Amino acid sequence: MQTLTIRDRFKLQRFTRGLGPEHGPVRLDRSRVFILPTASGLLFAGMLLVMLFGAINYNNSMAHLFTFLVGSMAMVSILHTYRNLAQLSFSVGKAPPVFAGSRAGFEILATNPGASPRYALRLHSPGQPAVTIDLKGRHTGTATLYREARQRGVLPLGRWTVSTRYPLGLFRAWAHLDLQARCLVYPHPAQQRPVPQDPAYKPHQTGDRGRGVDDFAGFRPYRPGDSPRHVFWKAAARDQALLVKQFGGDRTDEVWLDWDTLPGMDTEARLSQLCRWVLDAHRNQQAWGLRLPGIEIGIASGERHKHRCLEALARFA
Amino acid sequence: MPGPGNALNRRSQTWLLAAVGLLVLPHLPRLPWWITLLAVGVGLFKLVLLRQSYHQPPRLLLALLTVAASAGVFFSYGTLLGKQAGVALLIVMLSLKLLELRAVRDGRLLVYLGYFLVVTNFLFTQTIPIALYMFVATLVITAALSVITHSSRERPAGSHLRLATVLLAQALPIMLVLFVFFPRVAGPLWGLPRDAYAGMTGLSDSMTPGAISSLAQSEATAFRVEFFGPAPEPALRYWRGPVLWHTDGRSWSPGRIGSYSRQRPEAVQNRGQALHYAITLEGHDKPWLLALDLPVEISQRALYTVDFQWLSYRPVRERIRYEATSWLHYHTGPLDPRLRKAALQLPEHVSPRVQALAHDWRTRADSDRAVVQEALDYFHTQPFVYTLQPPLLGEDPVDDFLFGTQRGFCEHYAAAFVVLMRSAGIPARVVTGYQGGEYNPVGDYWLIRQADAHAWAEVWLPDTGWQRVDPTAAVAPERIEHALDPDLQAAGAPARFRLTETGLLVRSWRQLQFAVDSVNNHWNQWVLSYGPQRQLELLAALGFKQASWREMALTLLLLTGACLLGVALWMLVRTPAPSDPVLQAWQRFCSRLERLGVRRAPSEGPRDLARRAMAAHPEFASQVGPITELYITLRYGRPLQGSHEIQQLQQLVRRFPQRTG
Repeated sequence: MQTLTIRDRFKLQRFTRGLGPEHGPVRLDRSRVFILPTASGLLFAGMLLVMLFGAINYNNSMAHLFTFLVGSMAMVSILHTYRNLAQLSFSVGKAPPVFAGSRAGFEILATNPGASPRYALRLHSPGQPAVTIDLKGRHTGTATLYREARQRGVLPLGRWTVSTRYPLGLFRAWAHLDLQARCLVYPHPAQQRPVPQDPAYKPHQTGDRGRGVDDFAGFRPYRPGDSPRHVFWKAAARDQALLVKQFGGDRTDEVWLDWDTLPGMDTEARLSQLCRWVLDAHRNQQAWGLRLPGIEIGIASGERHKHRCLEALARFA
Repeated sequence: MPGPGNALNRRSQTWLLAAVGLLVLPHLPRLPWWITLLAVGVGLFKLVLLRQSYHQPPRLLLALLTVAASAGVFFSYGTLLGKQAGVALLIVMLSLKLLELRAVRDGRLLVYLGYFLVVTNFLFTQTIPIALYMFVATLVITAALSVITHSSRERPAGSHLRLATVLLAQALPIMLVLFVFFPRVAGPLWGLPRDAYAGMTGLSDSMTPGAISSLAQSEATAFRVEFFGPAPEPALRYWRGPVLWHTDGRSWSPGRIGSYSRQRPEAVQNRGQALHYAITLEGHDKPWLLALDLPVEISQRALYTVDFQWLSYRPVRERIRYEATSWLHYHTGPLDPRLRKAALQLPEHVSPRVQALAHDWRTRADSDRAVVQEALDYFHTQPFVYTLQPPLLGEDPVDDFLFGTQRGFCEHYAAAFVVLMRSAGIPARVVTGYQGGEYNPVGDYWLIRQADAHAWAEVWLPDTGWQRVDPTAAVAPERIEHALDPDLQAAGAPARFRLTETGLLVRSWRQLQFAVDSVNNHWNQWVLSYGPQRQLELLAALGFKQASWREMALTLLLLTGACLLGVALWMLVRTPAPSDPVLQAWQRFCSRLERLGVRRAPSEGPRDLARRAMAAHPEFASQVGPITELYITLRYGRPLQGSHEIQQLQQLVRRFPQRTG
């Protein structure tokens, strides 16, 4: 954990915006948590003042005593508010890739190292609705913070705030955090549009055993991950080994999605179009390859291949 | 409209209803019947609303109700200000607000008004039971505030009460510091509403027939006395109050003689022993400081009047405690001519029968003292009756009383006696005050009630100066020995006294009453009458001579800070270790690894962590391996065989290096 110099400690920026992006789990210690009264807390203070004046005006001992009791309780509640945040540690969980134009969700892991539960922790990313979570003692909870993904590329979560008004809502403790949370943003898929049939499609010399869905092509032993719809249950019922029916087409589409087939468009529009084609090709269970200036991803198909292509589009500089 | 996050849920509303109910309850007996009806009705209605799928009453209806109820308060009290009307208005608003709980903000406002209501209750009564009750009410309303602030289904209702208890318990030491050291200012800060001191009873500065007898029906405490030494005998326990010189035949007043003019106490000579004692006087909204007849010294800043009263510079509106010295036998010296004239003043009309009676005594007796004796004998031998509820008197009260009804309370006897004395040419005046008192053996003090209010006479005789004469004693000697019992009086009947009870039950009951009053006395002395005066005394005792505001503020700040720090240490340092020794050992191991630069990721299992640690620090591989395996066995493997494996794990972890050497 980094230590702060005196000079850093008193920077206004720390108060309003927090420290810069940090790696790894961050534990909330004294130097990170700030506390100020809420608007409602100020109203409460005003009421206490009126009560005190009343007590003095009427020379009333019990009125003094109870005014002091309620005031002291407010003071003690500061400690409870602080303790509700203190020592919590936060780290980044998953941030599944999204398409530009939607909201990117960043999973935040909040760990309560203490035995006492923490209540009403409000995680809030600017411009987005806040999430409120409770944490039992020695538990880790998750909350998802969102950010609008406007552009393709790598989207950092940026600064967000964890705050609490526990226990009485008179004070608010908060800490600004900026963890290294990154979300990959794919280009926004463009309108549907036919793929230019440049070398339209090539019939494959050996067929495509097992890739297409048209014709039955034989059995092979079951491998984990195979669809149960393709399991040859009759054989299984006869106590034979688990077999999977294989299908294949004698011809398959193989298509190259090429940057150069989209001349006269700007970069983002081209990427958007390529993105659409990748998605379409995947949906149609085609095999495809992607060509970008300086990047070529060979013919393949499947989920992993799709993500590889989309990532290349997202990161294209 | 409130958003979904700001809407008050049903649980919060239920808590608020309970808290408001608790707070309003003690006020109900003081309120006009229609407000009681309104508050209870609204509470029940809200209860029904909570049980059903609920609709809020329309806003317009609520607004109309609010206006109508405010008008009602105005017509009931004639004002909207003042403590009674103010509290009534507060309760009306609080009740109606219950029907308009929409957002969290409404709930918080209700809670704040609730705290305010707690404090207003103390303007009416400050007894120990009420204080305890209010503490509980504060607990509930604080819990309600916590429910409003963060109410989740997973939290049991009890956890909110527990939280409120913890908060209040931790606040207690700070509250004590503030109570003792917060600089006290003598109020009022500004003009108080007219009813601020309503309900204070005590002697008044005028006396009409029936004034004292109505006071004598009250069991309320007038003051308490601690004697530093033996108490005087009952016949000498006269507590001096206002002295009345001037009469118009019916009522008596201090007159122009200036009971407010100064006199040096040295004019009085002591003819016996001096008595020292301390008095705790209840607030009575009048300046006189009651003291044993005849008071010569007092610890309070006060005026000493020409007729031997001590007067405070301001009306006594809070309970105060002062010490005083009195002489039981004394000579007041020569009589100033101005005073003699005032002490012989007679109403414009004195009936011939009264004049004849006085003249008769004058001619028969050879001295003033003998005239006084004649008068006392007359009261003793004639069929006079001492009663708390005398018949009404006609145009000339003195004549009517002496020759007509012959039934009266002490003020009738004192007034008639003084008129007779003055008619006979002897300077005389009426003294009001209290007589007697009840000893409390538990607290070793004397309790003087309003029921002990009394009026007697003083005559000026050349050989003794002013001398106390109590004509009541000639009629009803028991009055001097025993207190009146307000519960036993019947109209026109002779007064009934508190005689010594003999039954065991009665005696135990009285013993209990003594104990209760003794506790109340301490409460009064140390809590309720803790004001600017007491604070100065206490600070002086603690070594703050002439404490300046700056010193006080600093002390207050330091002590409050110390209390907060104590609570903080108690709360923050006290992080209970996990009770599972295996987990504890593993956590220690993890933190040692962390210092070596291998930090466990949240999702990382022990084996992955070990693999990473061994890669990063091959030199410790021989230790990391066994620790991890043992931990996995103990935690996830077969059931425990015995504790020696746990000890082995703990030992291994202990031997694991703390940092890179």
